Amino acid sequence: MSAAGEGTGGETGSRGGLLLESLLHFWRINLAIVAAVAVCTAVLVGALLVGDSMRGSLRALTLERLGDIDHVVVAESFLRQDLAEELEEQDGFGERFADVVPALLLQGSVSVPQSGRRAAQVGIQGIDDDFASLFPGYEDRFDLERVDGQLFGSALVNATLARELAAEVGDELLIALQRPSDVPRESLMGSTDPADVVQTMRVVVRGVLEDRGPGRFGLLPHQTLPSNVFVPLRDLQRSLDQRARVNALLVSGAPEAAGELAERLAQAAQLEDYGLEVAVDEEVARVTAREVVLRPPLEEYLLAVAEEEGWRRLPVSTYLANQVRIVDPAADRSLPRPLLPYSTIAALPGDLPSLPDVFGGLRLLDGSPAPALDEEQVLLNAWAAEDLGAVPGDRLEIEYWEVGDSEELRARTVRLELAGIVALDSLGAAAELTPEFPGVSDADDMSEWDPTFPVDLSLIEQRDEDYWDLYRGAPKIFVAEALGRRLWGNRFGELSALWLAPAGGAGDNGREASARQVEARLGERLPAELPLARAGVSVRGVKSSGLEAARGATDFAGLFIGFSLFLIVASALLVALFFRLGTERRGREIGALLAYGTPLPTVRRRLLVEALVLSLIGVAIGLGLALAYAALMMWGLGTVWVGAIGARFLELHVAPLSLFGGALGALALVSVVLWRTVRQLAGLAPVSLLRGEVTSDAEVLREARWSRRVFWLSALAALGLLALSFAVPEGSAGPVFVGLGAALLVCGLAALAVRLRRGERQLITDGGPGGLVRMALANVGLVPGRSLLSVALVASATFVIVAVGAYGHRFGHEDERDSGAGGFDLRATADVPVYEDLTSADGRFDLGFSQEQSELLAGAEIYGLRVVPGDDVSCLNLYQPTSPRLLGISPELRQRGGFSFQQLVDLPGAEEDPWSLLEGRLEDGAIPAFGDFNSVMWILKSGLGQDVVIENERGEPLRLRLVGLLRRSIFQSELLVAEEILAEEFPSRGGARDFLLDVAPGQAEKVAATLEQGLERFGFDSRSTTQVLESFQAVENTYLSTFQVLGGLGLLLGTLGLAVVLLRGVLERSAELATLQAVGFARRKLGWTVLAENAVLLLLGVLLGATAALVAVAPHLLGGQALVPWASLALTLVAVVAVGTLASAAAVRHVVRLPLLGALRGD
Amino acid sequence: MSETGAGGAAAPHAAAAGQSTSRQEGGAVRARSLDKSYRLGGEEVVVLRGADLDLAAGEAVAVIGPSGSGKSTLLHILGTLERPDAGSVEIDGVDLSSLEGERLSRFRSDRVGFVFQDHHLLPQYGVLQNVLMPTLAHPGAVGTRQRAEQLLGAVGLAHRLDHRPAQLSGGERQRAAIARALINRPSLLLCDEPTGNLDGATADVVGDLLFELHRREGGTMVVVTHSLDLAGRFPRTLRLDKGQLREAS
Repeated sequence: MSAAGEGTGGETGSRGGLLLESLLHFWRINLAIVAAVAVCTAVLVGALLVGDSMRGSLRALTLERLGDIDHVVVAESFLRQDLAEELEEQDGFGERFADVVPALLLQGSVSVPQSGRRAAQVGIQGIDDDFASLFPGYEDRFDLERVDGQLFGSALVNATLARELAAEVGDELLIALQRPSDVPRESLMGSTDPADVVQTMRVVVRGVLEDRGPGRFGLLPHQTLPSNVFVPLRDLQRSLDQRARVNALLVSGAPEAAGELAERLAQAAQLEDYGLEVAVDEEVARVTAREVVLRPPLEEYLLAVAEEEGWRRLPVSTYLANQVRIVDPAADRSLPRPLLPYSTIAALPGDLPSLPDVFGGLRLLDGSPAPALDEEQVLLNAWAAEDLGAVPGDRLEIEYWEVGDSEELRARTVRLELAGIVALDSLGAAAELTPEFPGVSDADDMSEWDPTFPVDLSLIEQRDEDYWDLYRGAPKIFVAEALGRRLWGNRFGELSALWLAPAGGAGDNGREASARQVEARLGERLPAELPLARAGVSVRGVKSSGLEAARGATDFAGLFIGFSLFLIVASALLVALFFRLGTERRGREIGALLAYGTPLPTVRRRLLVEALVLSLIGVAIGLGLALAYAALMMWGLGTVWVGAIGARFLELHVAPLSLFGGALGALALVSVVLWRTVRQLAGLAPVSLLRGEVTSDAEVLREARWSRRVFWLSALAALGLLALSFAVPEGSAGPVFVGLGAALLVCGLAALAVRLRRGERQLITDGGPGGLVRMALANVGLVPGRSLLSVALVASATFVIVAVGAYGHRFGHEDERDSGAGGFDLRATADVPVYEDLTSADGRFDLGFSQEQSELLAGAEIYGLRVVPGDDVSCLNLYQPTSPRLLGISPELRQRGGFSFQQLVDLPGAEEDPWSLLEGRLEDGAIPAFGDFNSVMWILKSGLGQDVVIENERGEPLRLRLVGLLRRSIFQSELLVAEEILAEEFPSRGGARDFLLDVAPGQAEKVAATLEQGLERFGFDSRSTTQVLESFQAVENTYLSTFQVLGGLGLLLGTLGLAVVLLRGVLERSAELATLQAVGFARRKLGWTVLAENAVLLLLGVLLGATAALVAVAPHLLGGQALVPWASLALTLVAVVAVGTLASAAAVRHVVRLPLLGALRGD
Repeated sequence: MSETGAGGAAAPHAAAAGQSTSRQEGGAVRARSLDKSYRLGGEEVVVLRGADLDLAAGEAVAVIGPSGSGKSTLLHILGTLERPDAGSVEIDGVDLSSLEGERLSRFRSDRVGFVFQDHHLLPQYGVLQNVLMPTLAHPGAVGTRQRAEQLLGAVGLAHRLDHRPAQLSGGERQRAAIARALINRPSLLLCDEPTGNLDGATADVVGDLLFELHRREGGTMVVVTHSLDLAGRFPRTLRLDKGQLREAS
């Protein structure tokens, strides 16, 4: 635009031409404006594209790891493999769904026997030929057939596992995994013997799958590369002794139809899928469970159905009595002899006379019905009574095993009065009352018993063997049902069987047919009425939930906009700075236009149109740069910042909405900045503009007034926020920190504005360095707006660098109980649960540790924790977790305490003994839980006092109430609840799979090595708690370094702006510089003067930014755990000043070479 | 503001300045065969062609000539701001071609005072600071503030020491510029159209002031001017024409 153009500006074409001419004439400054707008756009849009890319990459990863799998039917226990075919054969199934592929999905460890290398936490996938169909394009990669001469089964490993094991095709691998047990291992009949718990399987590597597609297969959403080994389903079933059974059905098709699949599954389900077995014997259907005891939901349901159907029922609870003795009434102690060893004891309904005849009943020796039993009475069968020499009225002492809180066996006794002796017939000699006890039921002789509990076979005499031969496990002792439930009922259940018989006796097809009707009716009703979830079978829409989770736990777009905020602000300030420079240069032109009578709005409009054209060009270029910026960020997150995400999987994804939205946002931001500048300049009096003045006295006065007001207001705000920052908890201090930082920066800038506008009042009489600096100060006050902008740019970026640098966290004090490691040195995990007690010598012996090793371990404080697998809720998982992993905290660990809490609910005693908060349930039924503050706040997006709802093993909703939040702890991946509650809600999750170890100083490595070696088959893997904490901190550190890099870019822009301001100032002041030269200043001294001006601005910016940052982070610094790299921080700032000074070298060079004399002549 | 009034008030101040300062001796100039040309728009413009100049110490000379005749260039060469393409200049016997860098700027600072057509005061500083500026070029000057105040008193600006240039009239600015030129007691005062931007009355006042200060401060004074009135007041006037200096009739 030019003043001369006004007269011809009426035609649109001319206007366009003039506009172009004007833009080209001032091309240098316009280029700078375009560049600044482009940077602003690139940073803003780039941040949005980072978010797009993160979501897009997570989404792509979900699709890749699941292939065509849309749903998974998962069983806590096992399902019939035939269910897959039965589902597919249902009417209409094929129209909604495609394939149903049965699989065994387990976790274990894998080692290479030859090299000794091993890998823990490996997905062991038992698959059949159909699995490949779920991953189109990979069908030919799944050749698991044995080749001639191959001794062991085939296996495919993914590249990650192959790398970890250094395994190649043809190598043998040893897979160790948990052997499933029908009987809960923590019940009396369950085996915790390591030899029974761990199953090994030798395979030969037939191929290595790349880490793509099925190589990344996994059901849990996580971006890290999994380790996978695929083996033939049949081989794995055979190895685990689970023929024709699987624990997962992989279903493709209809991603949103999980509900329909669940219904279809229910239609196909059979009693066996609920873990039930029905033995039909004459007129009675005896319902038992594979697990030996009926789970409470099943018992409850079966009793309810029996009630509704009018069936007669006999609840049976059979257990084992170790010994029965007669109590000496005189001495009130049991007689040592005779004793009745290892007899089964049946709890039946106390009202024995009312027992339906169909079940046989109990009769006394005289043929009369057995009397009703209360909880103080007992009946013996004739054999037992004779053996003991007991007569009615005797008091008997019965010893039995009780499973303790920590699954230990404790011998208990109960004394009961012998109410009668029953005949050895019917129920009095019914082996059917006793379930199949592993190691017992199948023994030919009692002396061959190999039960899961300790037995003293020396107590068994010939008479006992005779009874075994005749009556097998038929109970010799009978008590009331209520007593049995009370004495040996546990969380797995109380009944060992439920006998059912139709009400009407014989049916049309005879008695047996009637009992079969009961079985058929049960098979008909159970799947329709009792959700399979109650039996631990759930249907998960893994793809839809995975894609939902792919939205991410962290809003990376927001995060990067946050990271880049200073950069965005810096570039916007640069836009303002350059535009102001450009328009100020044209002050005379604007003045002339106004003087000619051009209306003010027209002048403004012209300037704005120019600005808009420049902005649009800048935004267009910025969009291209944004793609490059986002690609660079992706590269950064895949390389130098890989610590933030833990895996290299990111690819650039571009959403048009982000492009256009971001571009509009940038345009709006820039427009506001430009509009303000135009308004300010075009508001000056034409005469002032013609004189070359770009500010008016009134404006200077107004600004000075405003600066003073802003100074006081921001100072007050800063003081208030500083006080507040010491009061709020560290985790909530973010907004206060940002507010305080901003207030301090504004306050400093306002003070500087006041100082600059006041000018230099003291006379400079010293021509040395001091005078030089004061001259520089006076000179930068010549155009205070520019100087303030420059200082603001540098100060903002310095603030980021220093504040972020000062947020380092100190490690190395994990031995302190109130640290994030709670005083523990090691944390370990196991793929196979360890049921033995590592703290006891017996437990260590059973686990195979030598005496020396055992003594070493005895010196360590070891806590084993139950684990319910679930989503990693730490910052290490980019997906949004929905079902957190749970840890059960034992009473011993709660008693020990430790760790530090960021927040605790306000309950009595919470501060003194926070771990007691986990005990019991809350009044409204919610379960108290702890989480790590960072995980709860940022990943779960929850908070103290809020509920996290998950499902228990029976598919029932569980409300976990967060009653305490740990501070920077090692428990960032999970939520913590009381062990006993975990055991109730997840009864099948027994044994310890997570361990905390507090060892003697200097022993950590030795203890870790001993445990890893001794528990290799359990997949035991330990890490120092410092490493665990550092892995979490690595994410934060990466974010911080990202922040610093972007802050550094902001600083670069700041120094660039500074150099431009300086250069512009030099050009404007060439006459002044020439005058100084004329009065004796050497060119070199003039150069130093200009350099000093730059240094003054730079130092002021750095000082202001650094001071504001240090004050803002003062609470953290004074908190005791701050680790501030002072030296490197100081070096960074020195480097900043040095780089900034170098950047001004151009201006200085210009001064030294400038032909100044022309300025004296007015050229 | 009336420059006449200001000029009238100048005499007592000037007297005061004269009482407290010794007169500057020296200022003899000897220039021989000065050549100087520029390239302007691709063409070479010769402004000095073998110009000679001899000035006795303490002499006051006016240089006149048409625009573009090289008057300012001559001043810049005498003031060491520019070097001639050929020829030599001696001031007080010092050959300027022998001076380089720091020594040259030191010489300029100590021996030469400049007054320009446009005052070229620094807008960010007050009048007193502006006058003191030349003393900052080379550290070590003592008692300069007192001299600056005396000079400002002599030019009638004692009451405006802290005023910024923007707060002064055109004549006041030029008077301040004259005070600045004299702060280091130069033996050679070079004035380039010192009244060119001023109205007649004010120009007279500034002219009076220059003569008065020259009388009191001593030294040699060369004034380049278009104003024949001003030139007519000098005992000697030179005309620069076709690159040569000639005595004006």
